[in-house]
Amino acid sequence: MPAVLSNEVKQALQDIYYNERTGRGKEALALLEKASADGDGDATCVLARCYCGRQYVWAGHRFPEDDAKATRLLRKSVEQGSALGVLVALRSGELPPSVEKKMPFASLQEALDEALELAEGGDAFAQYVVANSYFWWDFLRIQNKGRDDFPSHEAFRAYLKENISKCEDWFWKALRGGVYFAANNLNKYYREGDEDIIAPQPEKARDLYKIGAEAGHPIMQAIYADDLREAGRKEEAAGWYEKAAEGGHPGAWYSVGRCYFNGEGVGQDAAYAVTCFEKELAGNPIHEGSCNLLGKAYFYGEGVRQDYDKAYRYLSTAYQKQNSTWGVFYLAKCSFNGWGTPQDFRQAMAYMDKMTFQNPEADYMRGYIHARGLGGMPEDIKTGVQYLQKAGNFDKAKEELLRYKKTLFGRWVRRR
Amino acid sequence: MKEKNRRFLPWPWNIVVYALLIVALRLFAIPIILILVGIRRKNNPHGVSEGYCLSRTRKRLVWLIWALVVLAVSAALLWMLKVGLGQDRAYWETMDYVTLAVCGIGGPLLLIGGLYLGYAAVRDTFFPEKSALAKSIRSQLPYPDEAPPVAELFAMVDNDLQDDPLWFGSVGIGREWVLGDGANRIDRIRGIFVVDKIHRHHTETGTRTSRELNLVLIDDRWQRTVTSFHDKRDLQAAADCLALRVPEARRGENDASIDFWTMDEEERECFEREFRQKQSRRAAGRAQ
Repeated sequence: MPAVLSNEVKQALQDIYYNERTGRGKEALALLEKASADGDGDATCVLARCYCGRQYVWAGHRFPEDDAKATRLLRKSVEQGSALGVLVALRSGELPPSVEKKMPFASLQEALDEALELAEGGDAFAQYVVANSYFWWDFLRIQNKGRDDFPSHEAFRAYLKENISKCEDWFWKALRGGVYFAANNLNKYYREGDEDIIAPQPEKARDLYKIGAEAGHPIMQAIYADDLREAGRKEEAAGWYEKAAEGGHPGAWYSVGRCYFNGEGVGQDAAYAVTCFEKELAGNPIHEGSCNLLGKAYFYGEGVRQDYDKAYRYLSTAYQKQNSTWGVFYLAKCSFNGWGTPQDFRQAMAYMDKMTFQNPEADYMRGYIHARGLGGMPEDIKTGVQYLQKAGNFDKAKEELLRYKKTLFGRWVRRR
Repeated sequence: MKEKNRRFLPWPWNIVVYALLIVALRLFAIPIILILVGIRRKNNPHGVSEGYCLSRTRKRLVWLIWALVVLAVSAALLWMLKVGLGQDRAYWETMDYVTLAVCGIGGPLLLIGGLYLGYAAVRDTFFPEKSALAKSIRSQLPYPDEAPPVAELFAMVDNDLQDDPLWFGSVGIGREWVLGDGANRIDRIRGIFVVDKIHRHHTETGTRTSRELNLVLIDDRWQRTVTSFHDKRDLQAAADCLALRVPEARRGENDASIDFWTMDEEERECFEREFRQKQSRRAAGRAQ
């Protein structure tokens, strides 16, 4: 009987990989759970990948990440007789001899043959799994081959080259069939080659993400937009970010918002940028970039009414939940001035200690705190004056500096 | 910071004690009075306890001493005039007529000056609502004729100065007000001038020099406030501070204040227009 995937698995693959922007990921997951429970090994295999995190499945589905469950499911798929499950488990290092013994295949080669049959039948997921078996050298274990099985090193290299290069065709088929992950491995294959066996061919990698983007995969659209932005083609980048965002790719609304906030490739529109950041935060309330830029927008009243409470809330969320130090200068200003948070000079100093850049206003705040002995620090006019002088032409620092004068003996004192 | 229990003689007991000391100890009272004044200055800086403005206007009581000195000189001149008029002028020389003329003109003038100084001292000290400082604060309000009572006027400036003020000598700069010999609203200031002049007087006994250190502020109603300083550094710092607050104001030194003050109406309008334009540009720049 020819190898075929069940209708449930085919539907799930459509919703999870080939046409992921439809937003039917959750339904697909439920379908797989049910099919897996009914003994469908391929469903169990695909289900296992769903729990493996964003390296294995599109983050836009927002599937929970659960490595232990994924491992359990992969092993179960092997026991249930899924050829794809065997190859995926092998690739993931989840096929110890104890599990291998339980598979209903006579050998790993038999599993590969069945997967090849599926791949040749046109299933993109199977094509991707087969391509990986070649790309990552799993064929050596499958065929139980090693250097000693060849008369010479050259013969072994020729064997490796012949097998590794098979991945290229399968990856292309998988990519065109809808498995966008294939583009990542193809990109690596073309850019880096494979040791001294496969030579790099970077020119072939150029349009990989573009193909994925044009095929409508949001993650490819976002990656392609990143590439365009890096290349200075900001207008095109903004368009692709917008497509990725509309397709539901996590982080893409932030990228769109950033374009509009900074006027990168589009007309500056802080109000629209703010709505983009809010959309991003609706999906991920602690998204670092969105929290930071939204905080900045509220801090300066760009695109929204100035609101220090909200500015402090967003910026401190990024700081506390994501360890982001991007907004520490604004946080320091809030704490220093009591904007959106009670005035706290000690906290302001703590924020400024995290700053990685020089800023005259930060020097002013440091000088002010030191010279007045605030926030539990001892009064240190000399240090304070040094910071205030360092602040240079910052008006407030110049004014604060006027509070102190140098005595005949060169000591800085407060004017009375 | 822990607030220390600061002791000093409050008004009017300080004056009573100084007067009693003078009566009791005569000249020997002077060092004691100076010590008491020093303690008062240290423990009650700028008169914070009774209010900066009230304290400032009460200090005009010192003018009473000057008034007494001027009146004494005036009395001496008038007495010399009386004696001179009663003498036989047959053998008088030119210098005698000059002396008589000086006594005749100077005596009454000094009498008027002394009486005015005394009047101003008593008015400012005991009737603060009529003081020069109260008048100066009223002149800064949008409608001086409808100004609130003096207690409110002074409180307005005092409250502003209590919130983290900058002191340069006797001049206090708050968020909205400058308190010197008069008071100015900072946003009304249009000219900030430093006057540092050395005057030389040649007399028969030699040359006497005196230094004039003044901060001259001119407001948008072209009123002039002059405050004296003892220390050039304080004067310069006060001017720098105000220039930071009102960067669009005209800055200058010495006679530049007179040139600015005596601008004609058209020039003033032109300056005011330019001032507002610069201020708007700065506000717009700050908002970005």
